[in-house]
Amino acid sequence: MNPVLARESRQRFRGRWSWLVITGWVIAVGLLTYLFYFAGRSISMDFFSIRGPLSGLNQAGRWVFEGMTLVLLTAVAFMVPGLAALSIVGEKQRQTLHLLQITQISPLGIVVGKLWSSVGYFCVLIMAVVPLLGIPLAFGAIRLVEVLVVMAMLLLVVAMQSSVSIWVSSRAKSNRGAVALSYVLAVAIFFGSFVLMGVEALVVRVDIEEDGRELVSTWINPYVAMADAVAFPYDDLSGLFNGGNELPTPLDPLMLLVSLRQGGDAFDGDEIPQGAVLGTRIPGWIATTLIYGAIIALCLWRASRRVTAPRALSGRRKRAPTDHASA
Amino acid sequence: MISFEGVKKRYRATVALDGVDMSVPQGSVTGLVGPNGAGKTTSILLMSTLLARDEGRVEVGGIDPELDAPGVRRLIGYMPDFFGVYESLTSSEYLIFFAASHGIAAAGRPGLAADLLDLVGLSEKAEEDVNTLSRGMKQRLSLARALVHDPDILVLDEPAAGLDPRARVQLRELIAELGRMGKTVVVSSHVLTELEGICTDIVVMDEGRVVAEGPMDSIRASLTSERGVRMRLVDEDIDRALELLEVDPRVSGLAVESGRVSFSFDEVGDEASAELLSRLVAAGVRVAEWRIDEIGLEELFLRITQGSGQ
Repeated sequence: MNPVLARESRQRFRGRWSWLVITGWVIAVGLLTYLFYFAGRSISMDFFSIRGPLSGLNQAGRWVFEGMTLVLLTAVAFMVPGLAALSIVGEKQRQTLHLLQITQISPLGIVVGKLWSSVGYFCVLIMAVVPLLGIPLAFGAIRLVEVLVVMAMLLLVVAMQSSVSIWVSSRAKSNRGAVALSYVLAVAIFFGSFVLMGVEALVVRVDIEEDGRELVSTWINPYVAMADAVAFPYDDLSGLFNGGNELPTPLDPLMLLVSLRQGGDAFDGDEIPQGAVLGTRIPGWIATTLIYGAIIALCLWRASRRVTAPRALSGRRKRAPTDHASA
Repeated sequence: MISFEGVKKRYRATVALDGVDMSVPQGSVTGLVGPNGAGKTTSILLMSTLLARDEGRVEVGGIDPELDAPGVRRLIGYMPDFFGVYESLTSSEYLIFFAASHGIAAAGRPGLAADLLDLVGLSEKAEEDVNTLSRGMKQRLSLARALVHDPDILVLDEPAAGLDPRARVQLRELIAELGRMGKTVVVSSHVLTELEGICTDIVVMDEGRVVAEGPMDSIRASLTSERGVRMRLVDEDIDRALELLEVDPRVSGLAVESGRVSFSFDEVGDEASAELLSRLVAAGVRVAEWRIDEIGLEELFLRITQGSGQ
């Protein structure tokens, strides 16, 4: 096992705070699960007057699954930068980076250890709430493949966001700066990309209607990628809205974006049927996976360059090391 | 074991090293001395693979640190002038982590940590959080960390900085013990009295240059032509001793105070002073105490830097 990962795991789970965080997390997700259950059941039984306990449970299960998917994805945006932003700059502040650099761990080993530590901690948080996902499975509202797809996509997003934060951390001069910039980038990726999508959709609207030009800005958004990945096991998009039934569910707005991305007309359903697929395109979640994979590789490579010592012969710095400015 | 040839290092407008030439012999305890800003830490970072030079040549155990940093890291144990703390780790876990980082097999790590803690006198602190250790203990733990992969060379940057007198003495004893164990030790300090008595060799730096280097005795001998001698005699023998010393042309500045005789001896070799002592004893002078005042490191440094414009 990577020594950095082993040490960080030991440290993370030793303090009482880690158990308080996990306990609070499970309680919060549990409460939200109940909220989604209640919402799904109420919508099907009260608003759409669907009677019969099975129909209500099915809808509630779909709400729990999709709601939790959104909650976990949003949690990545808000928790991962906090977990990973201090990874390298924290070593500098604690004055332990030099001690790591003179060991036999390679710079990439240090950075990858930090990545695994961050991903691992979030995996523990996910595993802690996995039993809650058993509820929609028990209700028959979802298939196991959907759970696996969500888990895989969550891991990818966590790894991407962790890598970005680790890269920021490797460049940062202060803990505060690293955390702030990591959150700015997380907000930009998770939520700013929606704005970008809106701008792109407005600019290329004509194209969408005429030839179904793809919205490339959807590729970077983790919510759209998640919705696309959840939709992928189904044969076509037309039956996907509302999880295969006609009642609204939490992923519906994102499914609309998936449809738009695939060439469906979100603006005028008369010309192109909503959800129709125009031509054969690379699935959005694959595009996102490739992009995120590239981001992960690039960030880890750049971060490992920052923790390489001594710096390359051709890339000599002219600044005094911060720890030894007087030297 | 370690050699620098024409090494230059510049931080923007500041010249940290300006053509440094020095060599650290194998098995020596070499003191790297000089005032703040002399270039000691930069030299240490260069030999520890943590910094790249601008010009010149550096070799550690025959390896260029910039061409084969992992190779040098196997040879070298580095102790910085600060103690990097990992929260929530015990002293033992701290060492086990660094043992793992140096690729030591998992089965051997706990025993190694216990041995090292024993060596630095921290066995009873093995299960205590490193944050709770005193600064002196942290420095000793840091020394244990530097030894975790059993390096041939130890590079210690200002190891006694901020320590109380007792902790300084303990650390000096440890460094001396490591020298006796056959390790090549490079130890820097701007507090020269810290290195007194433990260094076999010395490199004196000032303003990014080496102004003197070599074995301590040779440098002492090159800078002084006489030694101060103090002796305590049985009262009845003082006159007899004075008679003998007054006729010796190498003796000057004879003085007697409270039963003690002091004088300057115009020879720096141990043989000459031993010969003088044996002559006194052979003449029936009962010598209760015989002491030769060596020139101290601080005095040595002042004399050297005086010659280089200080």
